Amino acid sequence: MSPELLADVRALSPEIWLTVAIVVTLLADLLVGHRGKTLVGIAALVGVGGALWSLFGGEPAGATESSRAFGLLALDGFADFFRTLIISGTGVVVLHAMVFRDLEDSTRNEFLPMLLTVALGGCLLVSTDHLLMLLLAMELLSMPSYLLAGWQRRERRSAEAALKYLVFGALASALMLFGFSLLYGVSGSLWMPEVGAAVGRLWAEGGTSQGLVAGAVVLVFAGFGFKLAAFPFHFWAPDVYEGSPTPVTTLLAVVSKAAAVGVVVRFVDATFLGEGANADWLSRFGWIMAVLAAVTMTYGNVTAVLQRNVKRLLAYSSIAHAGFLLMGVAVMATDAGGAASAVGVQAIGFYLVTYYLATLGAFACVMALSNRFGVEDLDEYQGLGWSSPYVSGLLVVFVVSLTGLPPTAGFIGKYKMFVAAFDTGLFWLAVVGALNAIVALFYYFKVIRALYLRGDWERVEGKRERGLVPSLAQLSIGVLAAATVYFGLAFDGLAAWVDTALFN
Amino acid sequence: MYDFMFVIFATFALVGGLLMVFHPSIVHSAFALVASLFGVAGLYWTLGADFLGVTQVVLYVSGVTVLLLFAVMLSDKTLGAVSILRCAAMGLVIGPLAMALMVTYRAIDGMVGTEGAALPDPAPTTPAIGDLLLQPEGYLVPFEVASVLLLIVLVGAVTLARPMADRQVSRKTIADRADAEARGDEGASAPQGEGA
Repeated sequence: MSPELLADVRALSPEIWLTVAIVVTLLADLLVGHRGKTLVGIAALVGVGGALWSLFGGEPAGATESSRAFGLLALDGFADFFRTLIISGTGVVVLHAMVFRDLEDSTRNEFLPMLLTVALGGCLLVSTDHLLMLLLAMELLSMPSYLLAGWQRRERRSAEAALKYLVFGALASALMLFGFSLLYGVSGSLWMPEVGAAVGRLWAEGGTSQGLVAGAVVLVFAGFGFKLAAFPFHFWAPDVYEGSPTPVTTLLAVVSKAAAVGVVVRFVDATFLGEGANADWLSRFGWIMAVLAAVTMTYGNVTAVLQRNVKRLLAYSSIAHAGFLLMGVAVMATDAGGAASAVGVQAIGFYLVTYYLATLGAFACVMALSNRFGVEDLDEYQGLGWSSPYVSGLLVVFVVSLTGLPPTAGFIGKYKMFVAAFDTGLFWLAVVGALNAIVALFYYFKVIRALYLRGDWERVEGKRERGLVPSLAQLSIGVLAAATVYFGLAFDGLAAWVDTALFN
Repeated sequence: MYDFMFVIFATFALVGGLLMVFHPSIVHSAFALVASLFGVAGLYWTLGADFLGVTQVVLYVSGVTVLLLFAVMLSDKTLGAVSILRCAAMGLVIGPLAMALMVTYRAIDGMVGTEGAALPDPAPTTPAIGDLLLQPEGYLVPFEVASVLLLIVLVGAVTLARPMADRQVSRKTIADRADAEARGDEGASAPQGEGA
């Protein structure tokens, strides 16, 4: 192998680790069968650990001369940041899936390679600036998600979730592909910067070219918005989140969403903010993003108030958070090539880390409670705070962080986002965001109230599982909660890490 | 020449498509689909995309449609043996016709005058596509990613579609129910094995 090829392969080593882990888990399942489920799980965890190690342990991406690999992948600091989130999030999900009670043991082993494939798709998705690769990575992320949503074959809701997700997802993919083909038609290239230059040029022409460009971009963002669960494309989210097995819901809310945010930010950055950007187009795009952000967060928060099922509640909450993240995209688009785009990307990066910690933790708590007590409704949560002090206490931490109250990281994330919006002149959006945080306080507090302030404080003995893996799963919740509180107090370190990671 | 071939293949594609949508019999629809897909393959051919055309024939005209027909034959109980024979006869007519058109393509090229737009140079595109797919600077990564995607979707689909693992349990439930009925216990006959 030539040295260049070797460097390319090395840059791609997290993906290679994941691919090897997928194959090894599939083969291990074949050899040991469903009795060796711990072994298969450990193989998956080793793959995830190896991928993380190769991200940090290898030479940093900035050290090599070019951060491009195989022509189609841009493996820069930005990609590494999102890959870290995606892979570590998948690791936590794998750990919890190993002890999740509602999965049949006969299909548990095939469950894990599916999770790893979603991670692989996410990693590729955030590290490409080529539309063909983007589409394939998106499919690699989506297809296993559709399958995973229907993994509880005994549950009618699970089948319904899978079907809805598949149908909506296929439609969104088709629209996105159509958008790509139009963009290819106008630019003659699938490479984002060249597409962006063509978009800027055509927008300046006016007339029908403007309509063509706008139509293509709307179609593309239909696909992105679907993955992000942003407002007009969010219909699937509540049903799919509620019906899917909880590890899958976690994966959709954390890994899939992080990948979607990554691809949206890269697309906007490389296409609309690159060379040949058109200021008029950018301001219109930013305005639309701002409106979408406001509508998405308001819709998510207001509808979440009415929910009784915890997973459904968290689904609406994740729609609301998608709105907050879109706020950062609107900030990015306020000014071409200037400081605003960096400010927006920083705010998004920080917010995403806080959202990631809190959502992963909250879903892990939901899984722990459902394992032990078999509950998923808020009414059934009554008084559990006294029966399961550890998990319930940590759930409170995560919920407080999702609301955005101080001493947690969620507060700093929202604060940075609002400051970014203020600094770039989007006052009204910051105000809408602040009002939304108040609405959010109401429904997040419902969870705390159910756990501690209602019911008759009777100690309920649930099913408890002992052993190494369940203890590790419990420990991971504690680590996430500790990180949530720690980054709420000592946020400078995290902010510095996000900045160096994103702009390396 | 181009116009002439275009009209032939486009007619195949359009008439086949319309027939497929409007014909009441699903089997006839499937054969109309063959004609339509073949027409599209011919259009690729006239545009100089020989690899795409052959792929269309191999994958869609033969693979997908045969699968479709098998699915219809295995699932539709109203389909009698007679109509299968008729279908086979239709296939015998359409298949050779289509193949003959493909094969005599070059021959027709020589016979008909060169009026209208010229056909693209029929240089084989297959080696170029192979190079693109397997060179690191080309589309090697997407090619490999696609294979991972296919593998995982196959495994996932088989896992979801295979019978539930608790056959044993449901048999046991039936036995339990029989026992319970023997004892005259009505309450035990609740449908516990519903999922199986």
